[in-house]
Amino acid sequence: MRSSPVLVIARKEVLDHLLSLKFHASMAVLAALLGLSAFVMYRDYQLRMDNYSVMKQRAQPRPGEYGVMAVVEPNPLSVFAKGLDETMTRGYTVAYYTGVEPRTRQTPPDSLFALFAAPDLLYIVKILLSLIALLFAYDAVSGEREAGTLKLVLSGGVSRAQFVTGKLLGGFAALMVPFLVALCAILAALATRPGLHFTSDHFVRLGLMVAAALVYLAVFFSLGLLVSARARTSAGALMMLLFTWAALVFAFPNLGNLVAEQLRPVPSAETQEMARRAEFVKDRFMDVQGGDKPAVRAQNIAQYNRVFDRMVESYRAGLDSMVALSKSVCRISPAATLTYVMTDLAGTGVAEQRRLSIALMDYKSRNLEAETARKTPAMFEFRRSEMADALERGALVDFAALTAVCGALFAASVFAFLRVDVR
Amino acid sequence: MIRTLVLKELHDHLLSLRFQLGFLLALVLVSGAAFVLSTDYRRATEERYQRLRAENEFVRRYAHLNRITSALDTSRPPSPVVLVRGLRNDSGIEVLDSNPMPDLFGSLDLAAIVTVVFSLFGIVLGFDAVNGERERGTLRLALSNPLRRFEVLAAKWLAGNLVLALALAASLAAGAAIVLAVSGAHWSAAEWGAAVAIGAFSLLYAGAFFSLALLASTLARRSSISVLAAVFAWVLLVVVVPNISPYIAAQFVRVSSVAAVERDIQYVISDQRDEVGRALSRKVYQKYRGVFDMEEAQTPAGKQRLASDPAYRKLYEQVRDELEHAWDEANRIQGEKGERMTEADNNCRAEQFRLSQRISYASPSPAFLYAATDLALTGFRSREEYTKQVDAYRRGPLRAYFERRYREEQAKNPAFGWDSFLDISGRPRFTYLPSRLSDRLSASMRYAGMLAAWNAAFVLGAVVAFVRYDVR
Repeated sequence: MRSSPVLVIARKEVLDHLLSLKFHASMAVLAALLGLSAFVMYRDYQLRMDNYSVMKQRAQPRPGEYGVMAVVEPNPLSVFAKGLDETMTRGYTVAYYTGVEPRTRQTPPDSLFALFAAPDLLYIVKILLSLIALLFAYDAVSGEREAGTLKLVLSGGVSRAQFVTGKLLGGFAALMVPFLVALCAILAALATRPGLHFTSDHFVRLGLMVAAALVYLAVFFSLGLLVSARARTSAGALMMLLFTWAALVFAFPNLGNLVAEQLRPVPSAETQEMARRAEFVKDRFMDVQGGDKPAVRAQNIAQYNRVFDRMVESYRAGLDSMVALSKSVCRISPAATLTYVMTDLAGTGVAEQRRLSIALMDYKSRNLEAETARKTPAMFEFRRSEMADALERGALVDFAALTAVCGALFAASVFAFLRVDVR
Repeated sequence: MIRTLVLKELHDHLLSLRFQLGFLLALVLVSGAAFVLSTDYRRATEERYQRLRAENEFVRRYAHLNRITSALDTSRPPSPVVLVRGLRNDSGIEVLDSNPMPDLFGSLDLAAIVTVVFSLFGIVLGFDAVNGERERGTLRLALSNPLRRFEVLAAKWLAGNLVLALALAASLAAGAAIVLAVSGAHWSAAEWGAAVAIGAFSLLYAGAFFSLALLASTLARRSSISVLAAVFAWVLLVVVVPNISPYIAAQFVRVSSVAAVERDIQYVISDQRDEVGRALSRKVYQKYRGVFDMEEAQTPAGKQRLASDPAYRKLYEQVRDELEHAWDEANRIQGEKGERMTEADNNCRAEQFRLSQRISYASPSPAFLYAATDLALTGFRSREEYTKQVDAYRRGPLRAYFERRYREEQAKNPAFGWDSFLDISGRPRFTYLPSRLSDRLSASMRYAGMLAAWNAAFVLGAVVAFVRYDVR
């Protein structure tokens, strides 16, 4: 039985790649970086775990202490997509007369970490692998035309659509198989490390994150094929692709966010914090003027909490609408979509942080009731969202959007190639 | 002759698709970023103004010495060189809900565009400068003229840098025009100087990547190889080294977890302080053993004796003062110990920061970023200066003012306390004094030196490789 031409071309493509310098160079760089990233992100996670265990000991509610501490355990998946985990695991002082005050975070936001993104798996896929995907695809068609083999191939019984499909399958497999193998090796190495416990839920989430990464890379691979089919020379194709890549990966997500921040502005942290402190000082002032009578005191506390709640509420509404706008603006860039999908799936994304902040505010009000009833408040516990929740809250839509872009680009490359002069 | 060569190269570049694409992309991105950052500047200025007004209003009604300092605004105005965003003004402030975008995405300012797009631009312009000509066969032709190889390379280098300078100048001019038209920021000579200096740094930086591509094109026989080599080098230098450096530094200089440090300090200044205080008091008790018994003095009989016996009373007061002194001493000893611990932790963090900076110098892009942000007053240096100024303001004029006002009010009304209302509308305000441009420039000279060294290393490599180049 003869195998289908698609498979023949795919097989040839894989062999071609396996023999090329490009393949070995990119895979060496990739493997080294994946290993380095896993190592440094694991150490980073460990440090936050240390921080957490110290804070947890102190978080046991004791009578007569200033407020109660609420702590959140670091997320093991933050090793792969750090997202907002650092922000979420700061630890919080929850007191009825100061509201919810975050404590200092482990890595201060005005250090070098602020200027450069964390080198986690998300970063490597988003920046490095997308570029490697383009490098694998840019001469898929134009290279064969330059070498003169395109005419030969198409003179056989291979249709143009089959040719492009074979190219996609072969090139993509050559890119993905080493990546997945390296990833599994790293996962195995990480899973045996002390202090890092992955449950089956984590593995499912990680599987979906990797699936999203694959779709994302397929987008870039198809883009490479499209440009390669249309460009006259490989060098021209590569140039086009490099600039497109810079625009899609760096410029659009960041610019989209800036635009969203301008269209739906939220007050800066400075303004928020000044307003909160002013309310706090005012509350104490009224207290003292009221002569520390219990009734006045209770009234003032209630008043302060009302104002604090309202401030948080109104800020939150603004923030939600900004994030929603930013999400829709950023849809034009697969890199931004990938960031949202992966952080949401890992449970280190915007939605999870929102859940945490709501849980903290709930805890504060319950705490307030406990304090007025002179009971020792219960410890704060944060239940992480279920995976179905994360999917429902947007990851699925983002996933679908990525897949749609990928399909459209691939279809476009097939159609583009139909009209190409192969000489 | 070299002039002809440069002109030919310029001509080639300017008419090429790659130049036009890159130029367009850079121009559009810089203009877009300038517009968005300008509206951001306008909003931030307005927001700060409103904050100061709200503060005035607030102070008029609720100021009391006990807690007012925490509610006084000491923010600094947003930098008028809005093109380079750098560290956000509010990045050190922890609030429950804050904007998550800076943690998830970078921001797109001139520095980011230059770091990524202009460096790629340099590589795209230069990756086939030599081997492309060899492939087309024109290299042999050119060298059959009475030309030194060095001259050919120098012409290519000069033309590449001129083209980059043109693109940079056009983008910067467009950006500056938009900033001046939209943001409402007033640019004095210092801001213009900073903008021009940032442009010069950008050229040094992008030029380094052009030189890198030139080197790749003289080392590799085929342009398809040199482009890959240059892109890989770019990846390492621009997106790997800077991001990995703080994490690598964290492996060598370990800082303890903030919570642990806080816990230890808390222990030293409370529980341990109590122990020390008790030990010191015991000494006092032992000193007066048999002469005076404090416990006895607390009993009703003792209290009676205190009232009736002046000698006993004097002894009591002496012991009481010594005990008070012992506790003061315990507070002082443990307080100093706590301060030393804080300082040790801060030193450790500072050392980690310095090391990560040093590791990041393995790539030209952090050096450029530090220089650009420092020049635009949004970098680490100006943040440090700002923090120092706030600290000096709080410890100096503000504290002195509060103490003076407290004395004045107490002289008028003896019942005046820390919790009474105090009119502080005449308080000294915090004004941020940005460092002078000349200071910033001289501080950024080391980065200029680093970037120049990168340029020189790549160019030198290219010259050496080209001397031995087989032009066939």
